[in-house]
Amino acid sequence: MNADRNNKKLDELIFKTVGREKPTFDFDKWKQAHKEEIQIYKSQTSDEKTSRSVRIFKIGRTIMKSPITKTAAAAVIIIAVIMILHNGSVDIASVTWGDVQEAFLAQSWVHVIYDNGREEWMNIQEGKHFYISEFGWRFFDDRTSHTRFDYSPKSNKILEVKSKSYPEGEVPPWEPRIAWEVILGFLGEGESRAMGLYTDIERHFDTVDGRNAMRFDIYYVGALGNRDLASQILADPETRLPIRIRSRLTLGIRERYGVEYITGEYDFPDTGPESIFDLGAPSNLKIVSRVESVDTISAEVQQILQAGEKAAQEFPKRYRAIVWQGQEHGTIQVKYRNKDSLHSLNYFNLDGQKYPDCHIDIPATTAAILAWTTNQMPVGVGVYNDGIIYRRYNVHPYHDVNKQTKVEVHRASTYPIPGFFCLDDDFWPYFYSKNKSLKIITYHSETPPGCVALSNRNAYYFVDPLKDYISVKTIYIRNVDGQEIKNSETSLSNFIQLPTGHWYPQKRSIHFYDNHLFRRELPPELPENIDIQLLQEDEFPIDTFNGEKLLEGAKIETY
Amino acid sequence: MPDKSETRLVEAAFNGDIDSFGKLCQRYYGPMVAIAYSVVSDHQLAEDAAQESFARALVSLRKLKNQTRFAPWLAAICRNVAKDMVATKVRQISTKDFSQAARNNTDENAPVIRRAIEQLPVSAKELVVLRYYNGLSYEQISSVLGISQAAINGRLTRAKRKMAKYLKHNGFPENRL
Repeated sequence: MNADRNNKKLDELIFKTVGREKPTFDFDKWKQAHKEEIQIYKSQTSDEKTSRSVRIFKIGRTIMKSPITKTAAAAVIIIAVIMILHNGSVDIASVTWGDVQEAFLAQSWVHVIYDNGREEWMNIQEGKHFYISEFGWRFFDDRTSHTRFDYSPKSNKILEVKSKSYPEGEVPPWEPRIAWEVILGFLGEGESRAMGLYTDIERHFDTVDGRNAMRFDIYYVGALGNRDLASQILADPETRLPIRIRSRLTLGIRERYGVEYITGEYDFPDTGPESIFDLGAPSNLKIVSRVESVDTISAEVQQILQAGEKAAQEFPKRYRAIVWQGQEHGTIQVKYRNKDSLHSLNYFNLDGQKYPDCHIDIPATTAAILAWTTNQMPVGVGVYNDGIIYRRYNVHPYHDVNKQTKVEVHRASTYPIPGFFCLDDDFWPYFYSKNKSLKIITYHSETPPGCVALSNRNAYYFVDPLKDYISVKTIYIRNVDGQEIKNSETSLSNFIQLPTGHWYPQKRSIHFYDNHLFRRELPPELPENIDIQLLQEDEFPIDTFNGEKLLEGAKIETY
Repeated sequence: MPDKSETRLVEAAFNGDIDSFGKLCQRYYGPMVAIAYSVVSDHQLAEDAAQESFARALVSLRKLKNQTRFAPWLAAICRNVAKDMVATKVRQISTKDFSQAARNNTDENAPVIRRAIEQLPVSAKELVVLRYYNGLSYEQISSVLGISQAAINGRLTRAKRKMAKYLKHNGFPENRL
C-alpha cells in the first residue's frame, strides 16, 4: 500500500533536503513563557474577551521584534480602533477566516440548507457526506469506505458504487477530503487559490437578522484578470461559526433560470443522517452494486502508446493547415500552429445558387481557398495562447445561430482546449483517450492491413506503425444493454510525407451511424481534404495568435 | 483515529489537568513544527509558531466540541498561527529563504529539491514536509491530519510524482530519481 516507499532515491533526496532531527519541547519552559494563558485556562473562564485580549497580546509579543513590524502594528492598532468605533465591538474585528475554520473543525456535524432546495449534511469527523440536489437526486458519499450511493427520483434502484484502489495507492474517483474542504475550503484555498482562480478572502462587517456578523467575500478571478464575486460567507462573531453563505451561480445557470445567487443557512447539529434512506430514498428499492475496477495496461499497449506519443511530439509544430469538405458546400477550416500557440478559423461554403457571395466551387486549389477566405467572415474563430483560450462567435449574414458577436475567454487550466483548435492531435486520438484501459485485440474484422487494433469501452483504434502510429481508422462505440453500437467512424487515407518525413492524411472521412448524437436527421458522410504547409516562425500572418484582437467589437464573457 | 491514551489526555486537559495538556504538547510538537515549517520555511519560526499554537489551543480548549479531533484542530490552529506570522511580515518568507537555506545545506541537490517542494500545492507541500521533516509515520500523520493512511499514501504518491516530473523537466538526471 505504501507505494511512496518504493521510490527510495527521491525519498533520500527529500529527506536530505528537509529532514531534521526531532525538535525537543520543554513544557516547563513553555509554561514560564505562557503564564497568562495558563491562568485563563485554570480559572476556566468563559470570558472570551479576556482570553482574546491575552491572545492578541501574545501574538504582539511574538511579532514585535523589529521597527518595521512595530510601525505595521501601530497601523493595525489604528485601523482596529477605527473598526471598533465603527462597530462598537472588539469581537467582530478579531474574527478571521482561520477562526471560522477552527470553530468549524471542532463541531460534529454541519448541515446546510439552500433556498433552491439543495441540502447537505456532513460528518466533520468521518467525512460522510449526504446531499439532496435541487432536482431531487440523493447522494451519500462515504469517504471512509470509498463508497457512494446514488438515487435519482426517476430511477427504480439505488446505485452503490465502490472505488478500488489503484496499484500505487491512489483512490479515485473521489478522494477523501476533510469536511472543511468539501463545505467551505474550496473557496479560494488550496490548489484553486494557488492557481490564481480566487482572490484573498476579504473581511467586512455586516449583519444577519439584525445581529452583527463578519462577512468573508471571495472573488473569482476571470481569465482576463477581472474579479467577480463568487461567494460571501457570514460568520457569528461569538461562536465564530458560519451562519450563511451566498454563492453566485455559474453563468449558464444564471442565464437559464434568471437567478444570480443561492443562499444557504448553516447549523451544526450533534447527529445527522445514517443512510441514503434517511434522505428520502424509498426503502423498498433494491441496491445495485458496481465496483469501479482499475485496468492495468499491458507492456505491448504501453509500447504503442509510447511510440504514438513520440510520433505526436515529433510531428512538426509550426504549420498552416486547411481542411475543407469535398462537396459543393460545407465547412472550410484554416488552422495555424506555432508550437503551443493555436489559431483556428471556421468558414461556411454555402450553396452557390442561393448565396453566391459565400461560395467557392469545389474542387479548388489551396491557394484559391485561401484567397476566398480573405473576403469571408468566419463563423467562429479560436485562439489559444499563453494559457488563455479565446472563442469568438461572429454574427454571420446567412447563419442566424449567433445573435450577437461574442467572445468567450477561458483559462486552459480550467477548460480543455477544444479539439478542433489543433489538427495534429486528431491523428493520435487513442493517446488522448482514457488510455489506461486500452487493450490490443486481434479479432476485429475491420482491421486494415498492417494495423494494430486497440480498444477500450469507447472506441476501436486501428494504429498503423508504418504511418507514425497514426490511428488510420477510429470507430467510436457505446454499449446499450450489453450490445455494442457504433456511433461514428473516422477514416484517414491518402497519406503523404511532409518535407520532414512525417506522415499525414490528405483525406479524412467521418461517417455517423447513430443519430443519438444529433437528435435529428443523420448528417451525410463528411469527406474532407487536408493540406498541411510547414511554416517558419516569421511566416505567420500578423496577430495570428493575438487573442485580444478577437475581443474587438464583441460581448466578452470570461470564465 | 486517536488512541485511548490520547482521548484520556484530551479529556483530562479539558477538565483542567495542565500536565495532560503538556503531554499532548510533547506528542504533537514535532508534527506542529513540521506543519508550521511548510508555511514559514524557517526552523526557528516554525518552533515559535508551534509553541504559540499551544498557547492558543490552551485558552480555546473548551471550545473543542469533539475531543477526538484534538490533533486536526491543533493543526488548523498551527497553520493559522504560521500564516499570521507570514502575513505580519515577521520575516519575508519567500523562495529567497529557501535559497538561503539551500546555501546553508551542503547537499548540491538541495536547491532544486527545495524548488520542487515549493511548487507543490499547499496541502501537498505540508504533507511532504510532515513525512520527511522528522520522519513521521503514516499513523502519526493520519492522526494529525484526520484522514486515512490510504489517503495519505495516495496524496504523497501524487506529490512525489509531481516533484519527479518537475525535477525531470528541470534537467535533474533521471537515474538519480
